[in-house]
Order: sequence, then structure tokens, then C-alpha cells
Amino acid sequence: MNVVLSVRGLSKSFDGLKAVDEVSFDVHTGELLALIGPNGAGKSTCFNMLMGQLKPTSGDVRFQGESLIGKPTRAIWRMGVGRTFQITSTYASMTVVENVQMALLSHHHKVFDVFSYAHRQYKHDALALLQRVGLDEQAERHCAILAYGDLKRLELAIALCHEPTLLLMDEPTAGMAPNERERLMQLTADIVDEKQISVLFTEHDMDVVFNHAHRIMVLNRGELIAEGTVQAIRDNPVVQEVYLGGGSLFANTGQTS
Amino acid sequence: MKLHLYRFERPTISIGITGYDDRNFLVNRNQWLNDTTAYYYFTLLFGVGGIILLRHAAHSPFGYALRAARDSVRQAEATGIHTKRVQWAAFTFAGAMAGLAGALFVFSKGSIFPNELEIARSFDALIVLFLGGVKTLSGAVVGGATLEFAKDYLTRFEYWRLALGILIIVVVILAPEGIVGTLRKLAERSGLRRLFGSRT
Repeated sequence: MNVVLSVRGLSKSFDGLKAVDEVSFDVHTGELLALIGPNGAGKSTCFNMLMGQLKPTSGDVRFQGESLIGKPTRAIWRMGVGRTFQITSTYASMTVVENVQMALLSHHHKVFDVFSYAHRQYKHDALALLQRVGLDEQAERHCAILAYGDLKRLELAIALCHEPTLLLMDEPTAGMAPNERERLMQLTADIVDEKQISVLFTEHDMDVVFNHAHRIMVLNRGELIAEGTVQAIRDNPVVQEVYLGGGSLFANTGQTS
Repeated sequence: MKLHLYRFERPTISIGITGYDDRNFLVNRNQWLNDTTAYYYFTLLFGVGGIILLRHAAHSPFGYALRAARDSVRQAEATGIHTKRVQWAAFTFAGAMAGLAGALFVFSKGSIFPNELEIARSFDALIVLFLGGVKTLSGAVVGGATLEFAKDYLTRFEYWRLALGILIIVVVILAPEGIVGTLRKLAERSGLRRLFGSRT
């Protein structure tokens, strides 16, 4: 498999405190890679460095061979990296379909167009994306009144607007009901299969991780302590000790795939 | 055909150490606009034209990008929108429209003086927003009309500034979203939302 994203020696310090310490990994084409770790492990810091929102203290991040270091978030997005947020971030004053249309307008470099009417632009494409994530029936509703699970789906639709090669999902199922979590991750897994995009996601729910991830990386106190298949991570005593304090939760977690 | 809209006249020039001149600049309209009615329609044309232009811009992709940058900078940047550039462009556009309004005002008054830039004039614009309501184009028109109507009516009383202040406070307390915002809310409750439109 081709390497889409290559991270080497990525570090970030805040006033001497190492939030991320010499992290290195690769993301391959069509891979659903989970980054897990307890609170404060450095997952979100890592994500923010990948997406250009934080500048690393040292290290390099290469997307399809090109370095992302020093590039603003919008430039990284244009290279083909999409993202969703831990706390949903949508345009509350717009309808669901307008949210997607806005991302499509940006993708087609029409942000400074003052001549056409925005609501007529790329509506068909936006509705197709909403249909893909199961939100087409709510297309004309305002974002502000959407249920949290639907907002997560909307974020996914927005992230898919520019047909990304790599999708970064920061705790995609946080705050969702268990059945909604499963549906969203199944949808993500289907999209990965269908479009052969790569997904790197952080997650706290072990069911979600074990059921859907192709590969797992474990961060603890900024260091990557383990990397491997679902089974390898489940059986890793260091991960059990550090991440779950003994491993009893691991043993009770069901694996369906 | 060459149209001369205006010419400036400075009857005398006195430049001291600071270069400050405390006399007004007289601004004369050209003959075809000297008539009050003609100038009224001239202003109306630019006023209505400006509102139509702003409404179109608000509904264009640029207007949507501006709303996106307001609603969520994080999402906007993460979907390729240069939010600072969009905001600067909007600031420039709004400045141009304010400049047009200022020019029409000055020609209407017939003179120009630096006190037109003082804080009281800026407050007028702010009060118009409070009265009419933010996030609406019609709010600016309704707010402006209400303020001028209130001024016309109240200036016949000795303590008109106090009365105007009380009126503004009452409106802000009773209708914190402004007159248009409150009417819109009432219309939503009574199912008449479409009368006020959903986009302005």
C-alpha cells in the first residue's frame, strides 16, 4: 500500500512540557488508522500539528511527499486533507445544504464571487453528499436545530466535499449515543472502502476502535508506545497497563470484525 | 456629455502652525441637482441601488463566505477559506458604501467639516443598528427611518435628547433583537415567517 501521510519525529513542547515527543508513523491508502490514548496523551495536539493549526517544535509531516510544516490549514485542505472536529464546527446561520454548498464553493475557488447566487451553486452535488451521509431529508433545516449526531454527519459531508485523499477525524463519535456511534463509524468505513481514502481518527470508545480500525497506534504522555493490528494492541500488556491500568476493560471489549 | 456633480469652494484659507482651518468647506451641487426634489430622487436612487447591491452581495458566494467566517472561523479555514482576506474585503466594501452615504449626506447638507466624523455621528449608526436589528438588511432601513422619525418628532421638546435616549433604552430592553428581529420572531411564532423572508 502507498504511504499517504508520513510523520517523522514529530514533537511539540509547551513551556518545556513535551505534549508530543518524537512521534513517527505512516498512514497508507485505504487505511482506517486509530490513534488512541488516555486524556492528555497528546492526540489532539498531534492532530492540530498535522492540520497546520499548531506548529511543531521539531519533526516533519509529509503528505504525498510534500511537507505540511508551516502551511496554513486552508492550504493543507487544498492539498487533499479533510478534517472533522471533536466539538462540531458548522455554520449555524445556514441550512444543512448551504453548509455543504459553502465547502463546495470554496473547493471550486468561488469564495470571492459576488455575481452569482450562492444557493443555486452546486446544490445537486451538495444534496448527493447529504444523501451519502443520510442527511438529505434534513437538507433545508437550519444547522442550529440539528441533533448532535446529525451535526457529526454534516461535518463528514463537508469534509468529503473536495474528495480528500486523507481524512482526519478527531473523536468522531464523542457525545453520540452508542447506536449512532456505530452507524457513523460504519458509514466512515463504507466510504473508506468505496473511495479508497485514508482515515486517521482519535477515539475513546474501544468498541468503535476495535470494530472498525484496520490498525491502531497508542499514545501515552506524548509518546507512541505501541502500534499494530487490533489483536496485537488488545494483547499488548504495556498498552493494557498504561492505557487502561490493568487491562480488565480490554478483556471485556467485544470484537466483531 | 460631461456631468459635474460638485465643486468645492473655500472662501478663505488660513493655515496656522497645525494647518487647521476652522471654516467649513462649502460643497455645491451642480445646477441640475440644486433642486431639493431632484436631489431627493438622486439620493433615493443611490440608496435603493446600494441596498440592492448589498443584498445581492449578501446572497452571493462572497456573502456566504463572510457568514461562514463569522459562524466558525475554524471550519471556514479547514475548508479552504482565507477568513482574514474575506473579512478585509468585506471591510473595504462596507467602507465604500459608508463613503457613498457620507458623500450623499455632505452634498445634501452643502458643507463639510471634520465634526461630521465625531463620535455622535458614529453613535447614530450604532443606534440605527440597535433599533433595526443586526443580521438584517431591512433592519438598517427600519432603524434609520425610526431614528429620524423619532428625532423629527422629539426635537420639538426641550429635553428631546433625554426622551430619545429613553426611547432607545426601551426598544433595546423590549426588543433586544431590534424592531425587525422582533417582528421576525413574532412572525415565526404566528407562522408568517415567509412574509419577512428567510435570507435577509
